[in-house]
Amino acid sequence: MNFKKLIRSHFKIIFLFSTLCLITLSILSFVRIQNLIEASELVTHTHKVKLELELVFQEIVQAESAQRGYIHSKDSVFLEQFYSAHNNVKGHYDKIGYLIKDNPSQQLHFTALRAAVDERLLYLNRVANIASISTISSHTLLEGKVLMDKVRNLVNKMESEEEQVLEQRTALLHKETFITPLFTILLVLGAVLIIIMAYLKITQELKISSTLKTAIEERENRIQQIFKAAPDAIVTIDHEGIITNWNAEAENMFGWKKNEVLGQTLTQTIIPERYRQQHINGMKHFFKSGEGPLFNKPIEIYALKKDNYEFPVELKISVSKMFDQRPVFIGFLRDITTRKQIEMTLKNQTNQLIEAQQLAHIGSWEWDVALNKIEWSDELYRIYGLTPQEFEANYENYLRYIHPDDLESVNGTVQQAFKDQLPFSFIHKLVRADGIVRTVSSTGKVFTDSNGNTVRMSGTAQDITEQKEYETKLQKSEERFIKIFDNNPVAMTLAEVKSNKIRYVNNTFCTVFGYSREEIIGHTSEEMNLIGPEEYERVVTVILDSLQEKRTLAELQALSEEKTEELLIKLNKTDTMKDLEVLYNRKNGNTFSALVSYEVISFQTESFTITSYQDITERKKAEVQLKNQNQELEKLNKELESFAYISSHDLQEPIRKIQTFISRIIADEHQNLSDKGKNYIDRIQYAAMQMETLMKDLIAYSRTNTGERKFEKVHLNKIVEEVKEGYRDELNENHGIIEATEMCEANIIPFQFRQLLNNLIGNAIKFSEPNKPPYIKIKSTVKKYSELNNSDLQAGKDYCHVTVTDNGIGFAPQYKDRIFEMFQRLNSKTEYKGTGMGLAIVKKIVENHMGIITATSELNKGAKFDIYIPA
Amino acid sequence: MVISAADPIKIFLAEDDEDDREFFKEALKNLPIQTELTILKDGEELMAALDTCIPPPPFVIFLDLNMPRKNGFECLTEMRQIAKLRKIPIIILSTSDNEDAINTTYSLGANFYIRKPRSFAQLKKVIELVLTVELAKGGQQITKEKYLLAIT
Repeated sequence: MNFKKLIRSHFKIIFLFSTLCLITLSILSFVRIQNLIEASELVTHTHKVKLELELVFQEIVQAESAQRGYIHSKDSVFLEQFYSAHNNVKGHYDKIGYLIKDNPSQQLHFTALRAAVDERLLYLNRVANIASISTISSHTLLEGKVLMDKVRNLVNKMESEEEQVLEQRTALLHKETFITPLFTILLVLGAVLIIIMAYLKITQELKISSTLKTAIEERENRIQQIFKAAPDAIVTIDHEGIITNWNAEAENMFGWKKNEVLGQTLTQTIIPERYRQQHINGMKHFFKSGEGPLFNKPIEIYALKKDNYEFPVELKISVSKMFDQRPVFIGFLRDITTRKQIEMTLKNQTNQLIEAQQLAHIGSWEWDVALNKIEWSDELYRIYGLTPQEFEANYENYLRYIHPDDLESVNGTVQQAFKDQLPFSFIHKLVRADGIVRTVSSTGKVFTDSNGNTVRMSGTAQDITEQKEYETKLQKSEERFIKIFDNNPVAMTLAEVKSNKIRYVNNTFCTVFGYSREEIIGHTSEEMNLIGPEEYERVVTVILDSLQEKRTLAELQALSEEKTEELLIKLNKTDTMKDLEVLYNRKNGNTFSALVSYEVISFQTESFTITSYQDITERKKAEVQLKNQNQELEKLNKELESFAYISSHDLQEPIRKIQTFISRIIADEHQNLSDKGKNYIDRIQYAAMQMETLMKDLIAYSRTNTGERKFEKVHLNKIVEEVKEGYRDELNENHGIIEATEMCEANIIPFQFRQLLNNLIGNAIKFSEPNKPPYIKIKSTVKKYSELNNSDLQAGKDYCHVTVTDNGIGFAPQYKDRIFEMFQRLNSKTEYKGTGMGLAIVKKIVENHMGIITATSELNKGAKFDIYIPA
Repeated sequence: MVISAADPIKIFLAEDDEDDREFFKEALKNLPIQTELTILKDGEELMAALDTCIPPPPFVIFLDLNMPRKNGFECLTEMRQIAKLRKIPIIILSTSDNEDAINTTYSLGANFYIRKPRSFAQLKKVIELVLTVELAKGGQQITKEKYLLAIT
């Protein structure tokens, strides 16, 4: 800085000095030239005076010659010339007077001259005037000549004086014309010298400055190099928070290219949102107070990458000033993700260790052998069932608590340690102060002095009673498990999760698959070809689909044990493995189907899958049989249907024709027949009618099986009314009554239920007692299961209970079931017409409604039918 | 349509069973109505006859359901699709009173369904009923309840 000032003041002096020189030179030069001009003007002046004198003389001569001309010629023209010359002289007087006003001697001469000239002119005038009247005398002429000479004399005098002045002036001029150029040259040379000096000086200064510049540039370059190669991200921002520098590592660390961030602020780029206000406030604070609490020390903070990924960084900020005094902030940033992770892991591990020790109930002891004093940790006292520091611990006291069974071995181990001075460990039982026996695992270490004597022992003791108990329990449970496993009636394997190798199989497995234990243990089921490759692929596909895993078989086999176990557990939670049927190969090459299921279990540290294979060969056979039977049944049903159709149509036709022909015989030929013939015809007609009825019933029965079963919610009253209408004539005839007062809605197949009521009412009318009008009562109500008291019904359901009661002939109670069988008749055909199908149809219809029907009656006491269908 | 005494009623009967054809012919002969009966032995014949018959078209067609070559259902379907035949009353004559058959023919647009009677007297009665009473009521299809003609 001072250096620059020096250069600058130096320059000022040189500049001032050169300027002063040049101004002096100019003034001097101007004065000299002014002198020269004056000198030359004086010379010119002298010449002008001389010229004017000459001109005056001339004018006189002119006037004289004009006067002379006039005298001779008397011509007035000459007179004019004379007067003009006379006038001109006056003009020259003025000029001369002006010219010589500085020269007093010349003024004297000039006054004399003027007088002489005026005299001469007067003379000439006079002569002219005379000449106009008379001739001029020679005297007069002579007088003229004298005057003329006088004039000439005076002129000459003045001229010679002027000559003298001229001589002086010319000399002066000569002097001036010699000195001025010389002086000028000297001055110019001086100026050139100064300029050269200045030039040299400036060049020198410039040279120094350019060297400085190079040095600065080099420094700048070096800084840039450092910026570039720095292992830390270096970011600079100006006083407005705008990024001005961004090095390669910054590009690398944040993912922002330099040209992307220059001109942006940190808050727009790498500062996470939660720090942004803080950053802005910090900047404000700095400008207000000049303080920055964060400067020049490392802080840990989070930064954002371009993709918005947040990561921990270590940040150090320093501030420096620009030449214009404005601050520049330089930030050094280091990615500390890995460091953080390591720190975290370390922290966790340390915590875990501490926790583990607390949880494990490890106590420690230190035995000063010489003093026979043992320091017990608090935890150790607790292990012994004592309160901390309860008794003075020494070796003898310690031995008191050892279980008698182990006393000898404990003492032996300790004595041995004195001898060989090697670290030792042992497990023993102890009897606590409260009498409870615990198991303890102890370790010890021997310390010796320089002479090799044992001076100190220290070690730990851990209560492992629960662990021991657990191990024993586990052992027992494993034994139990093996027993159950071995004697299980289902084939089972125990296989390692990590390798899929079979470690154990049970007896049933050997029987089912035909391998001995020795043959199978240590191999995978694939190696043993328990499952064929195609089947294996199918099963794997099924499993992968259910897991929605898009892995190949090879990828699956390459999975780690943990991953495999995870997948197996996940799979077990799906329904896929529930009753998954897999085709297996026996040793003899036969295949069989088995239902597979498995469970993942852990034995100590290993994971196993227990797989069971339930041989379902027999079940499969039964299934196939069932399927065949079903098909057969379906076929039979179809045949039945077509039979029903045939009977409904084709079989009816011949009967109808027989009936029609008989009707024609009766109508047209009756009178031609004998009584016997008439009787036969009547019986044929009756038989044909019987046949037709039978046909109709059969069709009705088959239709209850094959017809459409569309359930509808219908009010039963409607059905009763329809059926009643069909029996109107008969009821009128024998004064029968159908009473249906209490009716409900039911979910029924309407045409079937109509048939049902039709048959029941038909029966009630048909089997009415002679001479007693039929009285039929129909009732239907919805009832709960609990109200119905019928064990054949399904508990908890509601039923529609329909009863049809009549006052007819009834039947003996023992027939209550038989009446519903097909073609069963309790009465002779001749007494009561019928096919024996009516109640069979009724029963069938009730069954179609998932209901039951019962009949109760006594002979001659009417009958009651109870129908229950789900409401 | 007004039935005048002078014009015999033009009737078509499609029936494959010879006995039934004879019953029908006899019954018609015994009725006090002037008729002109054309008997077709199956559906094919019926359709051909309808195609070529000299106008006016038949006053009524009695149609059996079970026939060879082309059955009654097919004939009924076709006739109801041909404009000039659409208005002709069609009486189904069938042995069975199968509910499906009744429903199907009703929805196809037949006018009456007669279960072939078991006596000659009934046959005469039902034909007479159709020709004189029922068809005189107009060409509209009867309600479903009255579609099956009951004979007492």
